[in-house]
Amino acid sequence: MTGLLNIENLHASVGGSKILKGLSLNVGAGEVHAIMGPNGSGKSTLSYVLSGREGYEATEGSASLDGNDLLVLSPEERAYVGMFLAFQYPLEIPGVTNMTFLKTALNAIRRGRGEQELDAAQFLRLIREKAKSLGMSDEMLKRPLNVGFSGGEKKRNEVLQMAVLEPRLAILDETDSGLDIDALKTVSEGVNAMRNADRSFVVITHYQRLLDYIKPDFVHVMARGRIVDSGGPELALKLEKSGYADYLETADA
Amino acid sequence: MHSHDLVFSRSNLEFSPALDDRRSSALAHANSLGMPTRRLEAWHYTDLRQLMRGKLDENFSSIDGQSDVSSKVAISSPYHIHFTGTEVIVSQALINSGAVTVSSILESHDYLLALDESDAMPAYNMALLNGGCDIHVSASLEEPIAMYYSGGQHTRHKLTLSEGVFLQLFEVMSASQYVNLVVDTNLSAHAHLQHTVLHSSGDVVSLNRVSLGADAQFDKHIVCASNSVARHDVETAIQGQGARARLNGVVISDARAHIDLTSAIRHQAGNTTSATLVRSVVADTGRAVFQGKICVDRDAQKVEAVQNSNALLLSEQASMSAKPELEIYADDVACAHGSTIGEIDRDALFFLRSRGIPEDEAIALLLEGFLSEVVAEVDNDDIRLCVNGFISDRLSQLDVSQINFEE
Repeated sequence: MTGLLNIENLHASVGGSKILKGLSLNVGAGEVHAIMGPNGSGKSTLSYVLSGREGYEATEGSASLDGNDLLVLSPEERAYVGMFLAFQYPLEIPGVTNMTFLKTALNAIRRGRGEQELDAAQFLRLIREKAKSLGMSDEMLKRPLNVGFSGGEKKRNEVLQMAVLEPRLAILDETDSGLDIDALKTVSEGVNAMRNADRSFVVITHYQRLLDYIKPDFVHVMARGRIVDSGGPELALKLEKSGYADYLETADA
Repeated sequence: MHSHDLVFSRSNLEFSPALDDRRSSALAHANSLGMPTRRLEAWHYTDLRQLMRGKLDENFSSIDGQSDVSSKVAISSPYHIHFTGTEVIVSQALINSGAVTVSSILESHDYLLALDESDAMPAYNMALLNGGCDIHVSASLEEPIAMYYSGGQHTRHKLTLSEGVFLQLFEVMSASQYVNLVVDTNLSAHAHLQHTVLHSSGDVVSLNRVSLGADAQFDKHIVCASNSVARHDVETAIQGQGARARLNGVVISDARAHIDLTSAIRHQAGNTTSATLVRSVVADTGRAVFQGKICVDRDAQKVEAVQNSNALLLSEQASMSAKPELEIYADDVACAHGSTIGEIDRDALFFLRSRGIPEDEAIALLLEGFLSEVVAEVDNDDIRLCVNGFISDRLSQLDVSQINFEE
């Protein structure tokens, strides 16, 4: 109950249909939790409810991050208390350069956290250093946000945003989708470099493969809108062999 | 103003008898037509008579000066011409440049006497003409010529670029009074004109007729964010082989604004290209109109023409009318047009907010991105910075509280 992220009995509806049905999850500081589960189990809905997307409304239960009630906050306020969602399908925003976007976001978050904004020179130093560690060129920073980026570049860009914005909790929503092995390695290394005692991760994925690179402390199985099983990394290996059939039947019962 | 600047003032307006006759007949003709109404196809979405009702006196001057809400937009080039409504002031540096001759349009008798203005607005301009410049550019200038309009007038310019000459022209229209402007532009072979118009306030009706010789290049950018009535008409005649025309428009239309960009591009020669891109942001009760016509003559083969208009509406009451027209008589051409009218993308907005950017700032960023793709094509750094600053400023003043979202 004293985790960084506390979710208790969370219910949520999207467009009138109930998707989350009493989900509870506690993530301690510094921990990496993987959430696996079949299509339609509500994994992405969970990530949107937690990050405050319009139309994804909690109807019951609670969710807090570092003691802050998430459900009453706007998306930007959630970012100020440390929430970060790495999107499954990062958006393209024509006409806004990656650099401008990152600077606007970082300074908005620093303002929101009561910190001093960075000036142009400080920002440039920071961004160059972070981009370099992810193998991203200056040219990628000057291009419009995600426009013309490959799948791998878009995901790397999500990790860059995470590295710059330094959240307390990062939710990675199927970050492995659309990535080849090399891109998967680069992205995972970027995530692993950010692991520390204060920062937690919730990794949503269909496949064991990502968990070979980002090693979780806990693995949860989600089905029909709730967590139906939890265990250590060995649970993911078991799922890879036996699939989700058992859980679907259990959840139905 | 410096003592060595060249000044044409209104007080010394004198017309030859022949010109006086021409002006009288133009007035009679214009009065018989009256200001255009929606009954004319070209003015269907912009009923000028209705829009200007009660705003002008019998001399076609504004009854009430409109407040100039714009920040003073200017670039640092030493070459400039100011139009105050009573005077035309040409900077000494421009006169001394050796590349340009500038004289009062009222002295260009041959040009004026040869005109036969059949449409009402250019006929009114002819009838009430009180100033303007005949500009002949015989050698390329590195710095742009800036033209600033601060007063109301019936102004007319004739702009001629000699063969192979490159010129950047920046017109800033921030008059507090009604302006009826006609500009006749002639680009000789291989000449290249980059013409940017920034219209920040005042009711403006403008007509720019442009002819392009062989391999000439014409780039026009119209940036209009006025809280008043605007009609910017560009008629481009591509007469020489290999010539290229580009027309870009950026429109921000807010409460009380009615902004109309109308373009007609006629490809009269083969192997020519044209590209038109107009982006409009319409907020509150604002209105915007884009009419774009592309004609390709029978003998003009191997023409490439593209035209795109995209608009974002920010409220239920905002409106945009877009009318693309293609008239193609040649058989070996590539022409394309597209038009979209939409709202701010909710997903993009959520993405930005999830990164900590407050909603109003996120909206401004999306709108700026939407418009800046057009502005990026302004080649001159000073002018582009100036235009971008102006756009940011205007976007920050928009009322986005009634914002409309894409479902």
